[in-house]
Amino acid sequence: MTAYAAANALGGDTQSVVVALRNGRSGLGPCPLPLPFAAPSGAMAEPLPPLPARLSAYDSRTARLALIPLVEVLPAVRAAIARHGADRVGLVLGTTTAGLARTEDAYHQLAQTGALPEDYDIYRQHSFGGLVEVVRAVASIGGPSYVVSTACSASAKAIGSAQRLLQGGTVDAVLVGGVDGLCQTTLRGFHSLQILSAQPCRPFGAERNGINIGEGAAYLLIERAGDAAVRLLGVGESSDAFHMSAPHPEGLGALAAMTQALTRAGLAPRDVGHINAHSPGTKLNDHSEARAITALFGGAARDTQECNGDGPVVVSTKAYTGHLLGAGGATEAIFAIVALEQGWIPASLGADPIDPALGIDVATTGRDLRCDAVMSNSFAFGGSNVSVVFGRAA
Amino acid sequence: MIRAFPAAGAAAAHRRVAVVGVGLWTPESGSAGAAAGGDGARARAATTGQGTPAIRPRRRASLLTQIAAAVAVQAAEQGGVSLSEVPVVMGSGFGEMATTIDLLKECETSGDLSPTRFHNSVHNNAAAHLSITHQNRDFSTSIAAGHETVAMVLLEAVMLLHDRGGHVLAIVADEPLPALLLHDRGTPAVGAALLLAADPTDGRGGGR
Repeated sequence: MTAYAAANALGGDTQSVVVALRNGRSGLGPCPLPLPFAAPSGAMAEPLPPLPARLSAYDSRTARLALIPLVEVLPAVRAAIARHGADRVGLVLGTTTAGLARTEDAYHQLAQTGALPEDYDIYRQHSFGGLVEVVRAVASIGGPSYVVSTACSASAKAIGSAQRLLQGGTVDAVLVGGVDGLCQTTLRGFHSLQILSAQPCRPFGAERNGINIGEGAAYLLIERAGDAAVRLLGVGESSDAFHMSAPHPEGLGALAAMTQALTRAGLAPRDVGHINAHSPGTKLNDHSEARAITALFGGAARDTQECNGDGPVVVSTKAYTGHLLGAGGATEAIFAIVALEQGWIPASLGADPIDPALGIDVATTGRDLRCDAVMSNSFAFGGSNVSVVFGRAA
Repeated sequence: MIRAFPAAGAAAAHRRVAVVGVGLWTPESGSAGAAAGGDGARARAATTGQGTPAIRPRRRASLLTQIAAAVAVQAAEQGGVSLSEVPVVMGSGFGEMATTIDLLKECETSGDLSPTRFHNSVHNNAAAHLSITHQNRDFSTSIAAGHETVAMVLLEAVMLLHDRGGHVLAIVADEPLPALLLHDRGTPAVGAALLLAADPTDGRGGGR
């Protein structure tokens, strides 16, 4: 894990994002989209920088978002290309919507005027492939490049794909990314499911009332060799085989993913000091994930600042950024890595008072916490579960 | 166009993979609904019109989901593998386009979206329905890479086989692209599946 970067409602660069996280400052605010209901959201500051002129035919909100944090990791990507060759560096992006916001605008014009915008291009501006082409062109990546689109687990599953590409010898480095932008379909869709909150979300809180949506992008550069301080140790992936939009009530799929990630990392449950949980702010999700955590790690209460085998300290960062959908896995993996590198965890914003039925150690305040391994969970529509474990280099 | 990746090609040369099952669906074959437990005639009709399919396959399953299910069943049966336990790599350039168009229409008219359509609009809808239908709790992913989607699905599948051994079901499918979102005419639907098996002599294959 040689470089990372994130941009979202907390800030347009990694340092701003991390400082806001450390200070317990939420990025949620009024949704900038015209909607007939209240929907606090994690919107990026406007205006979004335009694409380079040579890529203007690919213009979409998501493509613009994707390039914001890419700038930060470009020096590391170029160094990796110099070391390994462009064909030995891959790209795996996680996204849910790709250019859907652009198609919403185009369809609206079609409905109003009977004609699509002249410059609308479904291949370049809407499709997953168009997004890949934009990032690949800017980063000069020549190796295998594709999108993983498994809804809200997408960019965490991209980490799993990257690990396999590296272990299989196909490439020497992979730029993993996640990106999603706010759009009408997503906001109205979650509203139709009656899980969108009209207030700032409160994951793990007894007074939770649903989720907020956010937007942003994040990247991690993962290389097979190197002297990085943080290592990708294991990824576990499973399916609930239960329901399209509801998690398994006992968290069986989540438990399988977490167990597999630990096994592949060669770790025992007591080795994990911190979990960046999926918890977006619904009771079903909270209870499902908490049951899985309890089944694997045992019920725990940790008051010390050291890993002592009592169980991991659990935090949801969704109340800072909103639910970042396809960008969530990569962003929250970075938050877990920052906790590992810098020895602190953020407060699980909105969790106080904690739902007493959960039985896990949720951090209602930020605190110093030094440990050797952290976990990040992402769960999604379709029962797609992924858990990623990072550790300090030996 | 499918780009050739020298590095991937070199790696693949060391990965001995056997194709043990094949599934194929075209508008002419028209067997998606029947093979998937749905209504083949309806699925066939849905592919013959221009633009948004006029007839919805029954049980709310999209054409893409029915095509994926059809080719999955064919390949799994041919290879003698249960869909309740095989890892799945699903690829689609555009995913659930017909459902997405329906949502855009709802946005434009009432503004109220169908919750079922919304959760069925995700790119991993077809793979998720396979998992739920067959109670498969194992690995499943959904990927896309424009014109390189087939190549990337095979690469992901081969890497998964190298990692875990056993079998992997690789599926690619796309619905007709809606003419109303194109400046030119639409594209036809198509689907294919390959059931791949790790060669035990590969050194990493066999068992999971």
